[in-house]
Amino acid sequence: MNINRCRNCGTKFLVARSMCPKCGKEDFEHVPARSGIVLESVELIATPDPYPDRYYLVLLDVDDVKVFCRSQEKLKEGSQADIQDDELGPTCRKA
Amino acid sequence: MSVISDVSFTRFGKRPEGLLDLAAESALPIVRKYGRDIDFIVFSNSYSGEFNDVSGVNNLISTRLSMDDVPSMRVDNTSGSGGSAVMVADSLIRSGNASNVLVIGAEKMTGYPTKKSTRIIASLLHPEERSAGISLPSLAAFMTRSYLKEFDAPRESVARVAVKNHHNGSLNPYAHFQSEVTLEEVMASRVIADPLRIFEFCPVSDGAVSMLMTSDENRDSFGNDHVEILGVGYSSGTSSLSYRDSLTTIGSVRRSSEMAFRRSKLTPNYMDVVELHDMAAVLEIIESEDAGFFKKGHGWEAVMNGETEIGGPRPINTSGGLNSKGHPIGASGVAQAGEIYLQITGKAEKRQIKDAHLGFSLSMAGFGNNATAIVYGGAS
Ligand SMILES: [Zn+2]
Repeated sequence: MNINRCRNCGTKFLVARSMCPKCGKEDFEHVPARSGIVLESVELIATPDPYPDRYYLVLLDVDDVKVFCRSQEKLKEGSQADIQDDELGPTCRKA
Repeated sequence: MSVISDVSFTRFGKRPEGLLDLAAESALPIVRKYGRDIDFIVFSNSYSGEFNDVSGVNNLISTRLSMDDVPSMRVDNTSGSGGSAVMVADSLIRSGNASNVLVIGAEKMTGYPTKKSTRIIASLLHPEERSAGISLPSLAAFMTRSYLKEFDAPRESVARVAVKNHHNGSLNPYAHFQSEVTLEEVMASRVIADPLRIFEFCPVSDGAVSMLMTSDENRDSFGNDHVEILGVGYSSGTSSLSYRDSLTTIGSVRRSSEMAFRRSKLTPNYMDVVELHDMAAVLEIIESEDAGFFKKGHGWEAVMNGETEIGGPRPINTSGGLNSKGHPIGASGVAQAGEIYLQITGKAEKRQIKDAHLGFSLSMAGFGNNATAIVYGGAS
């Protein structure tokens, strides 16, 4: 998983954009998101296809950008988590 | 100004009929009376491609109703399609592009495993966020946790919304669920997205509702019961959830409501009856604050004090809301307008609010991607 960072003004964001939401420039670097701090986690029982039947959704702060990940275990708020992509998307685990 | 002059509901719920059957069932009572005068059809529907394998549904329904040459369009704005459809009809009428508009809201969603429908609805998220396995209900769970923590609200306050709305739904012959639930039953029901339980979410429903909208000048040709559209507000907010500052307020709801009240020259205090978009029970509380009915962080107290019940000073979701009435996506926002119509014209039967003259509805798309707020007024 990558975070987008504007090369002109430094604004960071997760979702792909054609223009920087702050300065309008179109030059970005893609910074790998490897770890973050747990902001909140929610156990999801009714999950969407094709995901497993039960997991935790974790909202992480990655260098001031919010990122969602899937985790098999409950992660404590304020703790450090490592991010790794699997075949479905970003997952995280206790650091 | 535009007015709503007639409304017709199907029963919401698990229906064996198809999308066009349901749409026609709701439209026919209006078309039989006024078909020759209708010069535009606005069809609110979002997922006919995904759930029903059909597209171009506005033309399919116009031919079904033998109104083949009447201009029509589909309005698709996910969960907020219905509010957007009313806004489009109001704009068509006020601009003079149409005189008498048939607004149909319909969705046929049942018949698939929950995992499949959860996936279809989650397709409105950005891939970078969706790939984590997010569902719309999971976002409501994040919102609930943040709200309860930030405002020190009791967990029970969210469940109480579901108790109230199931009671209201038990009084609504069109509602999907027509039975009450107790607080204990809500709190003992199955967890869907921790801490929220199944009774705190809307069900997956089929259903349709139709309305005849016309101009103030034409109203006398369409019966004696009219409800005026006094102001419409519309706003969008970022569709990237990770780009939102707060999980306990929805910018599009705040801005659209403020605009609708400004345009109608009214304030929230004047509203006799209110319909909000309670896909999850927590949303009713947060929207009731963002729309201006309660101060931020105090909506839960109003629920606990019974202020939002039928008979309370600020009745919310007298129809049962999405929570109990059901949420056939394209129908929901139109059904909100329909409920306000029934209330203001005194036709809401067992759930009638005494002396209802002014109303408000809030139709929301994609967890706040858009919102349409509408202020209504009665002729009497
Ligand atoms: Zn920039």
